Amino acid sequence: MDDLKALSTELPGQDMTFLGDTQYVYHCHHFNLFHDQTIEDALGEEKAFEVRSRAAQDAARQLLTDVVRKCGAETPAERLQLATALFPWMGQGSLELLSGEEGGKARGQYLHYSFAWREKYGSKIRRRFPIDAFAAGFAAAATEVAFDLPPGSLTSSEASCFVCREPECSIELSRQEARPTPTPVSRNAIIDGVGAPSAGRNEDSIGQIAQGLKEFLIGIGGDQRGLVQGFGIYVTRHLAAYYNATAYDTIHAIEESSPASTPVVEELFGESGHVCAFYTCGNILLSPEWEAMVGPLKGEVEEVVSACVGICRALGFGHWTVEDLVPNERLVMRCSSNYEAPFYLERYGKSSKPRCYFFANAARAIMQLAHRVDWPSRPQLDEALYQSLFKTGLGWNMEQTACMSRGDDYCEVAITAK
Amino acid sequence: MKGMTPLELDVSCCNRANWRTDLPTEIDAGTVEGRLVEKGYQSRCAHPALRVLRHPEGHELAWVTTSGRVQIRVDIEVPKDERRRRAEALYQDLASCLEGSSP
Repeated sequence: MDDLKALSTELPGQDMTFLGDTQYVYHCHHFNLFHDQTIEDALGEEKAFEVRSRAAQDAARQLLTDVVRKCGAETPAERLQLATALFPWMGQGSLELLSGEEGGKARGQYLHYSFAWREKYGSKIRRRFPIDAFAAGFAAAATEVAFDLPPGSLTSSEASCFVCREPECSIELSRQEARPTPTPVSRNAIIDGVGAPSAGRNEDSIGQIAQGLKEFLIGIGGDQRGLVQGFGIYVTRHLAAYYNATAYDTIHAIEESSPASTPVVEELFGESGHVCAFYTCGNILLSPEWEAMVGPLKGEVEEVVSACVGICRALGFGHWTVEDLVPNERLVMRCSSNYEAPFYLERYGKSSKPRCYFFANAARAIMQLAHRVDWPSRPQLDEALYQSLFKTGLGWNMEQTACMSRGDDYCEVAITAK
Repeated sequence: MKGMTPLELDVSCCNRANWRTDLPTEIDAGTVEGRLVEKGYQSRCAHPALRVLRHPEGHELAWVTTSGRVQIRVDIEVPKDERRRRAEALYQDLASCLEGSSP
């Protein structure tokens, strides 16, 4: 774990985190489940599993190829061991790799997605389709890297899954003719895709919050199950490339097959910004860790907005700034970097429209949290409160007025009262 | 323990996982932390105003020493209808470590 911490670096001034050359961000289990559910809603369970596991395999391969080289892991056994250690550091649970050149198996315990799904939904819904596509793709990538197999030459599936009330998660890997795989979006490509960082309102306060939280976050390790807990929530150090590839490939698939449905799926991926702001920012703001590091929250609009922006920087979402804020009227947020636009630009080329679904909608959610939550009363951050804030009467318009994926110098979103 | 508030439900996004009590601020945090470590808790945070201690079963105590606020985090593997009982056991652990810890 100390080796992995040593490989974790930041892009100076941009509030982006990398493990080696691969970008990662912190997201909680609520966001992860929502994001992946959106893919299933758009594509159906089987196709969604394929999209997710392939994206996981491609992103994990980029990560593992780099990490094994940097750590000097040369033999298959060393490389598999490194992958096995990396998985829980990411908060993804524990994975036993029982694979060789021709494929094989992997066994998962406390896999993040299935564990989180059972906690959140298990008492209400019975699920019949496996959910651990990320673990499956990761296992495939780990095996490819361990044995120097061509990219995309393994396929993965989940034969049994904890969410289906089976006792364990079991993944199967088999050889196939190598499929075409996208060129990884490198750290250098991301550097080329970001803008010049700037300072906005309350920069000192936001910067201090971000720095304090970053120092705390990097010290958090996984427990013996491979789960990472901080601020009372379960978080993952997850691959930005996974989120981006799954979201954009899904949106593009809908744009091609069912263009009239594009706004719906875009809105859903945007809603992930609401989910993150509510559950992740909300729990952090009400946590003992926050109280100790920053102080109890008074609940004033500017205070909450600044706090959330500081949190988002610490989570590796990029250098977000507050350009303008008029309580009850307007919030303008800008960023020289986020984890969406540089990836989009590099992977898909210039877009004709803004593509920062998460950034733009997180800004809207932050404005809602700043105005509609009585923070000093420490409300329960449960589904009922989420529904009341975000499903009934969200009183803010959102317009992304600039986007680096479109060729602009920065990304910017304007949130205005309806 | 005198001054330790009764256990109550705290903020949580996981059903009944987090509970709260407040401790007197004048107690010696180092002494209490040491006693919890002797009971098997693992100290996980070195911030001057914060102690986070993990129970061997995965539960946590997150304690703001400057205000006395303690969040008792019951591990989410514990079934929901047993979480209060587990929180009460952790509360008693904490209470037993407070005896004689005021300067």
